[in-house]
Amino acid sequence: MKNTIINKSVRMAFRDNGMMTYDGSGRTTDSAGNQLGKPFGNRYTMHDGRTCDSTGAFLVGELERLDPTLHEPLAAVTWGRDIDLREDVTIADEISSFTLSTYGSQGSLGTGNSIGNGKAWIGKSTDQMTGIGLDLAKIPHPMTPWGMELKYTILELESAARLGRPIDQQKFEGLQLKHQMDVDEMVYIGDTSLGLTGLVNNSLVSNVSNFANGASGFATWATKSPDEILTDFNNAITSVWSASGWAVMPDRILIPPTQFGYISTAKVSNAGNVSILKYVQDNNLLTTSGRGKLDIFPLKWLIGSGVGGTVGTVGTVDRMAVYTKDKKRVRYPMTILQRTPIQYDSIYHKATYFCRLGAVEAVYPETMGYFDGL
Amino acid sequence: MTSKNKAKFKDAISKKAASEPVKEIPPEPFSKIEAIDAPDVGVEINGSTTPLAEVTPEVELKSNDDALVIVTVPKAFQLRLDAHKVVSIKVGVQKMALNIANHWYSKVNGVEIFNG
Repeated sequence: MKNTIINKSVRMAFRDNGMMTYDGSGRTTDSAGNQLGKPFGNRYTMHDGRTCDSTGAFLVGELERLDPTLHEPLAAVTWGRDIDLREDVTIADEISSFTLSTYGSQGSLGTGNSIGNGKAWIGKSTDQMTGIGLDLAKIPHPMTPWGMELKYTILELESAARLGRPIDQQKFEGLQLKHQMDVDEMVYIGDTSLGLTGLVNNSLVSNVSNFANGASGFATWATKSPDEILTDFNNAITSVWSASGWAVMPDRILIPPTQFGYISTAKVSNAGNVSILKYVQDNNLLTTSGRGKLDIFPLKWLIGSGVGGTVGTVGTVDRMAVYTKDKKRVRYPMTILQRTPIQYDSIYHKATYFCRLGAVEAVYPETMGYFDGL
Repeated sequence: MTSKNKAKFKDAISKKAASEPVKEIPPEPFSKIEAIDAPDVGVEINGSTTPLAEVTPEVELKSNDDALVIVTVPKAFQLRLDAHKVVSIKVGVQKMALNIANHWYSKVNGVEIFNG
């Protein structure tokens, strides 16, 4: 029996271009790893060559099961865990500010001012009474408007409705994620172009130093013993406690994820079954003095945020941030996300989402401390 | 002796030295070496009777790490030393111990040793 002879161009079309086959050598992902799907062909390709794919229209084979779940980009924000919000600000406010009072009081005449002296004693016939001096400082921070427009054409909406993949919902979720990521960055490191700092690099915090070297001659925790790591924790707590005039003992410590993973995994000793993290949580200064539990959390923004480091770059100078999570000590002013009514403009539906984002208010910067080199 | 004769004499000596075997000289026994007594502390030296132990050295000897160097500090910072002691470094040109100037945290804070 003779073999059927098929024209070469037809065979090529069957194999690579026209039909859904599984031996195609065509590009299915771009250089960034995005799934391109099956191309429609040159007639449908837009000027950028990707528009058809980006609308979410794909050819699906008869024996292909497409999961309709929407898989969004991986992203994590933690700002809601680490700071309290200042909620009294409104969209009308351009500045958020607060006052900081300083008191001064000298002792009565002749009592001196050293420790053990300086009380406001008076005599039976005193005619010179001491008083209180008060200084009120106002500390302002800008409330910068933030906004993004959400728009799609009627054609896009109709196509998305036919596909069962709502483009408006996806774009809105993308916008919300962008808003959350921007707030996350503002809370932790501020904004370079606006000259604002955040929770882990605040310019008002002066208690910044390095960790002491361990017996190995290095400061990094991977080279330190559990006792040396515990000493680092307690030194950090003591340093901040001391800077606040022994008034506020910090209750929260943030460390980079790698170091958190190390102390969570490594055991105190070969004989013990307790991780360094558990050991530190049980034996730190805050807990042993009966003031509660020390919160230790991992934070990605601390990677490379030490002096001389590059934020986000592993292997540079990492930082530990020590503070008290209390609205009276440190907080973040922002307004809720609002939107304009939908505008119908030609074939476009538009809505603008907006809010105001402030800067981290370190009301008492002496209750915060940064320690580099772990 | 003329220069010509000198050259001949040198040649003759060198040929003789090359032909003769090297003689080994046996070491002198210890009993023949005379011990030299060191002066006792308190003995008059150059007219002074001050005991040597009490003389204060004019130059204090230090290890190299403790040597002071001139540095430029662009901004004030706190440095925690190995013994957990915190040192406050002020801004400006100043003298600083070499081990502090060479500390990694000093370097990332921009401390530069003056090499003028």
